[in-house]
Amino acid sequence: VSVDPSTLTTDQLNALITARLVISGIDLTLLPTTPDLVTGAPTQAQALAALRSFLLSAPSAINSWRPVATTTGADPNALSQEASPPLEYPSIAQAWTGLVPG
Amino acid sequence: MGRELNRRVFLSRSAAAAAGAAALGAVGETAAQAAPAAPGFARPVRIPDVPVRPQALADSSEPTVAEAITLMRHHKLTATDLVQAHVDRIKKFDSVYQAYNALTTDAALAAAAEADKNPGKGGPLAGIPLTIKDNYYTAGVTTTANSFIFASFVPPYDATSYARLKAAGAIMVGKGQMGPLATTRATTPNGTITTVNAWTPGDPSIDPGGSSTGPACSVAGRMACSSIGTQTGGSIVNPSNQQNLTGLKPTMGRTSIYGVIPLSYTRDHSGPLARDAMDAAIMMTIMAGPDPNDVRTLGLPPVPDLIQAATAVVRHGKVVLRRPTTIGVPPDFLTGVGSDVAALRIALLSALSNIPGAKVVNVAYPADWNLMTGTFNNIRLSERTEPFLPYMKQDPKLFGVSLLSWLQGLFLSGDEWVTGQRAKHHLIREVLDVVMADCDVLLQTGPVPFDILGLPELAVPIGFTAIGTDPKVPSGTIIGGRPYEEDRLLEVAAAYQAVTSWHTERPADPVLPSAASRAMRAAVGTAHRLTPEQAAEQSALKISAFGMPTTLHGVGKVVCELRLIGGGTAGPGPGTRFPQAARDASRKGGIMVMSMSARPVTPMCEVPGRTASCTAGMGARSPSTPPPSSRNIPTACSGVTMSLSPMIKRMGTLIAEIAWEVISGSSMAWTLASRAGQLSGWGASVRYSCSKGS
Repeated sequence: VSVDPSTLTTDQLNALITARLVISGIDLTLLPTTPDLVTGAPTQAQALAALRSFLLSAPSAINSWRPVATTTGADPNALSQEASPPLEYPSIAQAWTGLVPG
Repeated sequence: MGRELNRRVFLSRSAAAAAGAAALGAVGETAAQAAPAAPGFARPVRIPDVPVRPQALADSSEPTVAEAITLMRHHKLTATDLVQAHVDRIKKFDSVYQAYNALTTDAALAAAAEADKNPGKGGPLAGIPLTIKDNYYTAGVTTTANSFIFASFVPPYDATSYARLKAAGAIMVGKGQMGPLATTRATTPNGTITTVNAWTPGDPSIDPGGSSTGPACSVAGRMACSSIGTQTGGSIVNPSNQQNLTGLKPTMGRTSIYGVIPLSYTRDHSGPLARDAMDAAIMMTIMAGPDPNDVRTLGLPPVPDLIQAATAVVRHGKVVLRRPTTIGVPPDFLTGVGSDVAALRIALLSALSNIPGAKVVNVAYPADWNLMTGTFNNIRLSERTEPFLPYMKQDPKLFGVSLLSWLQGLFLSGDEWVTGQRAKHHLIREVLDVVMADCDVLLQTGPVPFDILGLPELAVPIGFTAIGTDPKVPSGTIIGGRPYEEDRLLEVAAAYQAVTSWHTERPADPVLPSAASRAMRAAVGTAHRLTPEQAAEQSALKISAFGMPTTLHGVGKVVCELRLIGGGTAGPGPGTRFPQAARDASRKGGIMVMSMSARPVTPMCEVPGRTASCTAGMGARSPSTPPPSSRNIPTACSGVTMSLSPMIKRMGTLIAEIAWEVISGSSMAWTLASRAGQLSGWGASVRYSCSKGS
């Protein structure tokens, strides 16, 4: 089984998208099937196309990245786990950890 | 009734909204909650007298905030005169500008009259007319974020930032028009373009900047003395740059965003779009500081003396920097823009270099800069989706033209979101320890990196360029700083503005349309719409990230704009594999919205069956000369031939040419090429079409 996202078919992606939307409680069929100038909302086909495009580009690019550990000589994946722990607010963390003068 | 809202209407609308909420149980539930105590402005502030320009003496819509305070302090101006002058311009010109989606002018005039009863007692901002972006809660005044979702939402309390300004005596004249839910340039929720650039009021194709479009236009058009906006991806600095204003996006936590309709919790900032650095400092001084309702503001360094920082220092008759400051210049600062913008930036660097105390140095980006600031920009989308999920479940059409990026947020997994937070940690170390290792402030070529990190940015006007038939379109730069060093940014801006006068220039009054042209304008307004894909793209990146103006070409003809994608995965060199999105687009014979930048970037968007336009402004290079990798923009796709029809705009004999070359049967590399010296820079526009090739 290939793990290259580019091998996914449109039908496979559509199935994933519609399932995820259902799980989140979102009814795709509420979107129009033809352009709706009143609301400007995308059509169902536009939404699916945009989400397919997004799925094929962003997630894999993000989950392919790992922080590089500054030390070497052991399993790099293990060392990477110790590097760059998550910071939701990096600038605030600078202050809260005493790294900002003042 | 128009857009005027007086107090009686506020109250009736509040009652109606509450009644509606009781029936629908949706938005109005918030309105039924008890309003928490809004922390008012508390710290003492001293706003010094400033020299008042003759223009400000002659026209009460002209003064900066500091000038107006000086004039009122010396009884040469009343609050009523000041507010009335701006209200008069609203009544006269806002039908053209469309900067407001709600007006509170009657209440503003009443407040000004009240302020005049006790001159000098109303607070440091007494009588100053402001525009408040329509995503700030304003008690009793509809706050829509320009979305169907909040169309009847009447907040029960003021956002903290606005509450502090109001407590300081400032007077709201209206709610500023904005991109729906703070995403794009200002449009109606269905994507119809509204607010224009105050410098090109007759040409809605010129980017006014977004999403704080209305606040910027209102200040540039002298309908308010100053304004506040919000920024998640450039929405304060971009419209400031586009409309010749000085905009301050502070460090995350410096100002409260309690009572601001969220876009991305970790990246939403509140700040002023002002007429100069001093005004930005005054506004920020009032807005900044701890807010018990926003934990992000707590435990941070005290607010420095921003007003002193914004006061230029003159020694021995010469403007000097308050502190020695090293100014970093990134590698794409001059190469990522056209020749006319590059000339302005060169002049900026020259002016800064000539200020004693300033030192200008080149700095380098780390190798993974585009990945960290481009691809990882997507991480914010989950934050966008989460607070809005109830509305998405209710009816996704409520999001109008803006829906797509809200849907995208559902398709990043939790582990990918965590990876994004690790990337932020990685990036801030790169910025502070590597990029800014040898400088105090960093000139920016786009707002997104410092938005991701919550670092402060200050937009400053640096001159004007011509775009198409518009002879005078503002251009600006963005100065970025270290955490909680807004004072350093203001020091640099104050010195620069003391030796230049760009920030004092104001646009000419718009020509009021005749009845016939009003009808035409209505038609034009209908034709100028953003599509859902465009809205998603504008939300995903910031077009002016590299100083490139946004251009819509021709009413009803062009339906897709070029988007600059800040970063990407394509590496330099011919034959580089295209991202799947591009390949997918090519299979359908669709259009890829291409990226053009001085660095490798990734085409992102497919818009099948539509035409697209792009604005060329790359550095000139002969096709026969192999470009350096930093100027070669490689892409590849299969089964598609791109053909470009050069369109010459204000270029005389200068020709821009983009060459597409098939490298192999399965890939294509393209290089932006032009005959050396022939590309005039920004404003050269090309429209391309896409068709299936052999």
